[in-house]
Amino acid sequence: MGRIKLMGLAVSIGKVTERYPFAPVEVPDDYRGKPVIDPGICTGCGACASACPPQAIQVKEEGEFRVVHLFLGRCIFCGRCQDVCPEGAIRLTTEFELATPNHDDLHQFVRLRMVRCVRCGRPFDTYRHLVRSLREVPFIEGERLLLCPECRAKAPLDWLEGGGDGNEG
Amino acid sequence: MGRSTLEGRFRVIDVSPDEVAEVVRELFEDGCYYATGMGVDERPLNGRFAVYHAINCPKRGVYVILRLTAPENRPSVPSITPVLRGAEWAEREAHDMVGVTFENHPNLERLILPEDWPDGVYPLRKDFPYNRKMAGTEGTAGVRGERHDEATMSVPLGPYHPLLHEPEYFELYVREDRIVGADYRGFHVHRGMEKLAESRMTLNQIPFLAERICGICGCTHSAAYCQAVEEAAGVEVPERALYIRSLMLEVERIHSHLLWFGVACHLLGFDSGFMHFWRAREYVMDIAELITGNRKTYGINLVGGVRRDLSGEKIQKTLKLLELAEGESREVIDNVVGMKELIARMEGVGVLRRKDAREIGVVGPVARASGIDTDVRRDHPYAAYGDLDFKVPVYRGCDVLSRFLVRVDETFESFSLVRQILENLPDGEIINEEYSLPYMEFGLGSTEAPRGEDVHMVLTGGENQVYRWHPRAPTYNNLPAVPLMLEGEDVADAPIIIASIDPCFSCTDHVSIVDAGSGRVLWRGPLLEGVERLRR
Ligand code: SF4
Ligand code: SF4
Repeated sequence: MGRIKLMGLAVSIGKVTERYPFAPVEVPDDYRGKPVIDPGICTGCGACASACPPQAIQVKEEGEFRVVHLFLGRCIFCGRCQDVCPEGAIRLTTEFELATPNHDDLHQFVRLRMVRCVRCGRPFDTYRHLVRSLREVPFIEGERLLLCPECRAKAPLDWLEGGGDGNEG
Repeated sequence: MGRSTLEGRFRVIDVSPDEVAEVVRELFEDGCYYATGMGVDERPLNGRFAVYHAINCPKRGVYVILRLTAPENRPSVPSITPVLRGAEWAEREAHDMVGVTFENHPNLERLILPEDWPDGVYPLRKDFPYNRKMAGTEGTAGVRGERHDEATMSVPLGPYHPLLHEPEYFELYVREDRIVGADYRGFHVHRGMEKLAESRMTLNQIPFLAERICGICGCTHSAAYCQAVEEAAGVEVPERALYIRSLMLEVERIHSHLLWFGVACHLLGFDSGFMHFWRAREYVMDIAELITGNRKTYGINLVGGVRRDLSGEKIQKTLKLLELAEGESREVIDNVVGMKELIARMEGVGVLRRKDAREIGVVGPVARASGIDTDVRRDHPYAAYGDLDFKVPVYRGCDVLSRFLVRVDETFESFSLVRQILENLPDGEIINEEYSLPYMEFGLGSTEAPRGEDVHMVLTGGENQVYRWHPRAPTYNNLPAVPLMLEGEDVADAPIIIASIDPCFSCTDHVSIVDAGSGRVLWRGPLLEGVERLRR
C-alpha cells in the first residue's frame, strides 16, 4: 500500500520548505556568486574580458582612461574571469541576491589612468599595468616599454643605447 | 571506399554517392543505428559542401562517419533516408541550414527554419554573417492535411507542453477519445548556437554555451563537446579529471531521473509522489553545489580536463549527502512502484515496438525500454567509465512502464557509480593545458546523457576556434518516435506518453536563427510528416 506509507512519511518528515527569504540560506564558501573586481589591484589587462564566455566584461578606452566594465546582467557566474586574472583582482563572491530595481547596481566600472607613448603621445597602456611589466623585464628592455606597440616596432633596438635619435619629439 | 582515418572512437570514411546507400544498409543490418549528421560548408578549403553521417556501431565500439561531398555548383548528394529512416531529420536540417539537396529524400520540407524564412538563404554557410538580420517573407500558413475524415477532430497540444513548460506543438487527430494520428512541429526556440560558436567564440568559451543547451543535463553537453575537441587535437586528459567528469555526469543523471519521476507522478495525478521525489532530489542538488559551486550549470569542463578539484572534506560531505539521497529515493520509489493504480496508467501505454525503435534510432532509456541493449558508457567508454562497474538495464515492455523501470534501475546504478568514483579517485593533475589545436581536424564526442546518447561533432579551426560544431541532443532522436507511441491511445494519456521520453524540446532546437516576427504563423497542415513518413 504505497500511498498510505507515503502519507505517513509526509507526516513524520513534516515541513521541508525553507523559510527563505525570511531566514538566510547557506551556500558553500566557494559558491559561484556575484563577481567583484578589486579596483585597487586590477591593471586593466583585459584577460578576463577575453575569457568571459558571454562578454559580460568589456574593456574600453575613454580618453586618458581605460575602463573595465563588468555588467552582471550578462554574467553567467562561471568564474572564468577569476581563473585567468593574473592579479587575482576579480573574484566570485557568495552573494547571489542580485535582484534590484536599480539598473546601476548591476554595473561595476574600474577606471585606470593611461600612460602616453613617449614618442607619439598616444595613450597605450595603464600605469598600473606598465609598472607591473617593468618589474618583469630587464631594465633596458623596460624602457622600451614606454613606447606604444607601434612605435616600439619602428624604433631601432639601439635607440636607448645612444644610437638613433633618442629625443622625444 | 576512399581515404579512411582510424581513431579510437570513430572512423571517418569518404564514400562515393553510388555506394553510400549500400554501406548504410549493411551497417544497419550489422546492428548499427543512425546517430546524427551534419552539413558543412567546406568551400573555403576545397570548393565543396560536405555531409557527415555519424552511424553508431555499439557492438564494435566505434562510430562510422560517412563523409559525402558535392561541388559548389551542384550541392546535391543521394539521401539515405529511404534505407534508414533515422536520417530523415538530419538530412532536412542540413538542407535547411547549409543548402545541400538530398536526392530521393521522401520529404525534404523545412524542419528548422521558420516558414517565413526566404528561400535560398542558408544560415550555416560560411558566407552568411552571424549577425545578419533577415526580413521575413510572406510565409505559408499551411494547408490543413486532408487525410482525416469528418469524424476525426484535431486537437492541438501546445504551443507549450502542459507540464514541461517548454515549447512544442503536437497536433493530435482524435476520433471519439482515441488518438488516430499525431504530428509534431518543433524547433520554435532555435537560437543559432552553432553559428554563434563558429563565428565569435573561442575554444574554451564554447563549453559554457554547450552546457546551456539543457537546463537539466547540461554537463553532458559540455563533456561531449570537450571530448570532441580532445579527440580532434589528441589531448591527453589527466585521470583525475576523467573521474571528476564521470562523477558530475552521474550526479546529473540522478537528479535528472528523480526530477522525471516527480514529473511522471504529477502527470499521473499523484502530486505527493512528485513532492517526495523532489525532496529526495534536493540532497543531490546540494552535492552539485558543494562540488561545483552551483546547483545547476556546473561549469566544470574545459578542453583538457576539469576546473575544480575535490578535497577530502568535500568527499566526506558528499558521501553523507549521497546516503541520505539514496535512502530517501529508495523508500519513495519502492512505495510508488507498489501503487497499482499508477502502474496501471503506465503498463501497455505508449508502445514503441523494437523494430520501429531501431529504425528511428531512438536512444537512452527509450531504446532500453524497447529491448535495445545500448549505452554509450559501456559501448564507447569515455571519462572514467572504462574503470567502473555498472549494469545496463534493458526492459522489453516497450511501454511507459518500461521506460519508468529503466530509469529506476539506472538511478541506483548511478548511486553506486558515484560511490565507486569517490572511493577510487586517482591523484594528480586535473587539467592539461599543453596542447595545440590543429586545423580542420574532425572530432566526435559522445556521452550517455540521462535522456540517451548525446553526440557532438567538431571540425577544428585552428587559432583557438572551431570551424564547425554540431551538437545533437538525445531528444532529437527520440521525438520522431512519439507520434507512433501516441497512435491508438486515449487523449488523456497523451501528456504522460510524451513525457515518457523525458523530452527536452529546447535542447533539440539547437540550431537556427529565429528572426523577429517569425513563429507568428502557426504552421499546421504540411506537418503530416513524422508519423506519416514513418508509417510508410
Ligand atoms: S563569472 Fe563568467 S560570465 Fe561572469 S564575468 Fe566572470 S567570466 Fe564573465
Ligand atoms: S580583473 Fe584581472 S584580468 Fe581583468 S582586467 Fe583586471 S587585472 Fe586583468
